[in-house]
Amino acid sequence: MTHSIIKQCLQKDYAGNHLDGLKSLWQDVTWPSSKQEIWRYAKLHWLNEPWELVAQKETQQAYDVYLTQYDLLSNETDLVSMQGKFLPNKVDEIACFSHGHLDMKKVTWSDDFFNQLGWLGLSDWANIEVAEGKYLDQQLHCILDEEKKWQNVKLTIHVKKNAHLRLRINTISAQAVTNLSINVQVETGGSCQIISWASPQSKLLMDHNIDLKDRAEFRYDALNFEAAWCHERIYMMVGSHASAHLAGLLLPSSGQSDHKAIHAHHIAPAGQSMQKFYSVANGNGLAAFHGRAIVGHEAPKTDARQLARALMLSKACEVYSRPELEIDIDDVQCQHGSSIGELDTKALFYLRSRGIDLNQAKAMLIEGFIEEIVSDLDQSVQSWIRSRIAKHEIGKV
Amino acid sequence: MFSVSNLHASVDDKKILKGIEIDVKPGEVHAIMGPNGSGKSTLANLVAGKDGYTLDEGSIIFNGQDISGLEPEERACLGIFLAFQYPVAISGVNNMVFLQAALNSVRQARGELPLDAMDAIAFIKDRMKLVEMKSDLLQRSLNAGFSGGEKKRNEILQMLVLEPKLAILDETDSGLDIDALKTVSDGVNHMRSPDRSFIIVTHYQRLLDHIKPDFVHVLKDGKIIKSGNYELALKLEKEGYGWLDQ
Ligand SMILES: Nc1ncnc2c1ncn2[C@@H]1O[C@H](COP(=O)(O)OP(=O)(O)OP(=O)(O)O)[C@@H](O)[C@H]1O
Ligand SMILES: [Mg+2]
Repeated sequence: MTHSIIKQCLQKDYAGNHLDGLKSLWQDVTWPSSKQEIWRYAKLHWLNEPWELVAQKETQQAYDVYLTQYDLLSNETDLVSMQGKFLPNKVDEIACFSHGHLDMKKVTWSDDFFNQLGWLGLSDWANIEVAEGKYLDQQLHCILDEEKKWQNVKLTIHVKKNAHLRLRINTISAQAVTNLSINVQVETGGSCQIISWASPQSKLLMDHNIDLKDRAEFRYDALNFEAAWCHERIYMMVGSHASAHLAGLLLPSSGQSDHKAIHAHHIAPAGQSMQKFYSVANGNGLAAFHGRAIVGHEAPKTDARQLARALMLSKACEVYSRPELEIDIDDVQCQHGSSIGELDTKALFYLRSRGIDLNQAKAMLIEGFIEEIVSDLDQSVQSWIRSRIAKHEIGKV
Repeated sequence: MFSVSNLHASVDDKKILKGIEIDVKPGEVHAIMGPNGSGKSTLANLVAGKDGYTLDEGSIIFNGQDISGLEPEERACLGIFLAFQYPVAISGVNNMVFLQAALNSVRQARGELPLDAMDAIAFIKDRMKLVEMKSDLLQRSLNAGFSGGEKKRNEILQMLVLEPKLAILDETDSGLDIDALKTVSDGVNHMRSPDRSFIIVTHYQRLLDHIKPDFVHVLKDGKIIKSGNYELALKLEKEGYGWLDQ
């Protein structure tokens, strides 16, 4: 069964880049048995993706509704990825909307259009290419109509020499599963920063393949904490003197699960990588972090770090933390830390002894715990993320 | 306004307080001295409502009400404040945000309107002057990385902001330099009023030079073995606790 489906993906030339990913994602990682069914579910969907693209017309109003619902402004939208195939005569409309602030009233379906914007705006495939020495700051909304079951988005990002990209990806899909695959290549001296957020109750499969050349810089913030479930696999190769910072917040409350499986592979000297993931689990929520840093003998002077911290707020929640280092060489600096605990009773008493009631005191401690991740985020999203956290179940203990 | 009578308390079946009697009238300052491990902090924590203690016997009466069953925040809202011997550091919780939250909880309990952020900040900053605290400490995480003395000043700042009816200061003087001791004492004296009482736990008579107590009690092995006035503190400073055993 698995075999034939992988073949099917291959035929579609979609899973080509994923094939390794698929294998390592599902074979290497052994996750807790009690939640196996979630994985199976995810796996099934991944492999059975229907691959049908339905032509569909969306109006700007519909998008505005989607966006304002989550305090996202449509005039900040740079890219919109939607389920459906847009016929040439519909492209005008979409482009006008999604690039409203660029004042593009008339766009034609031509290479020129894509070159100007540097992307392809169809449902299943977007290329973002940042030319040498250029800077690009964009937002991508992956919006899926409530009625659809699936959205496949494949993003190919190529940041050329000394170029810089900042990308915010918002996945909005209430009922459906979004299958997002991101391939990033950052050339020598380039930098790329990606922030990912998913709307409440969305279901997310993410597969990142990241290739960092010499002196490239990469930063990824996984803020998909509102999703019903989120499974992310990150496979990263760190070149010489390149640096990578992967961070994330996992805040599963009842019915939610969030898994991160990360390989940071140092393949050249003097690279740096940091994996910093904080979890707060409540109800029967599940958070799992499986981070691996691999330092081969070809990578002396590597600095690889992992920090996984977790708070468990309930008896029924599950937290798994597995930071792992595989080091083949002496001349490296590697650290990993993992802590799982409950709310500090002394701190709770301290706050309560000042008149702050139990629930507020708990909420303050939880916010304080995750503040280390939030205060480290790009300034542009900090207050918005704080407001999202405030709306999330986790604070309402 | 505040009294404990025949108070017995234990931790993990270990008896720590063995029949304490104290009666504090409005406006009075009581000092509690005593050797290490005698139960001073236990008494203070018990009054503030920390769990983990078993109240075996006796009662804690505050303004006519037995508060021993109340939650810590309920006691704080009634006007009980404990300046901790070892204030906890809480990283990620901003000191100013914390002070505002505490202030508004207590105000609400007193039937006052909450202060908006601007007014609250102005009020807190005004109080801060009294303890000569560096204002950057307000923008940091609560007590995180604070020096010993800075933590103690922060405790007194909280007291000044919350304006309790009964303030228990547990070794607020330890960790303070000579000038800070004076400043902090001035802050406390500023708060003294006919309807506000203090219980001051200390090892040194020096603090009592600044904050003149009405009564001095010696707590030893879970019991108050001697009570007196300021003279008693002077004698203890000179002679230690040994003579009390005879
Ligand atoms: N949680 C606990 N578990 C076991 N023993 C405890 C606990 N808390 C307090 N004690 C013991 O109770 C006794 C009284 O402690 P307490 O902290 O009240 O003393 P103290 O008078 O404040 O001393 P110091 O002057 O050193 O601050 C000590 O022997 C202490 O070890
Ligand atoms: Mg003590």
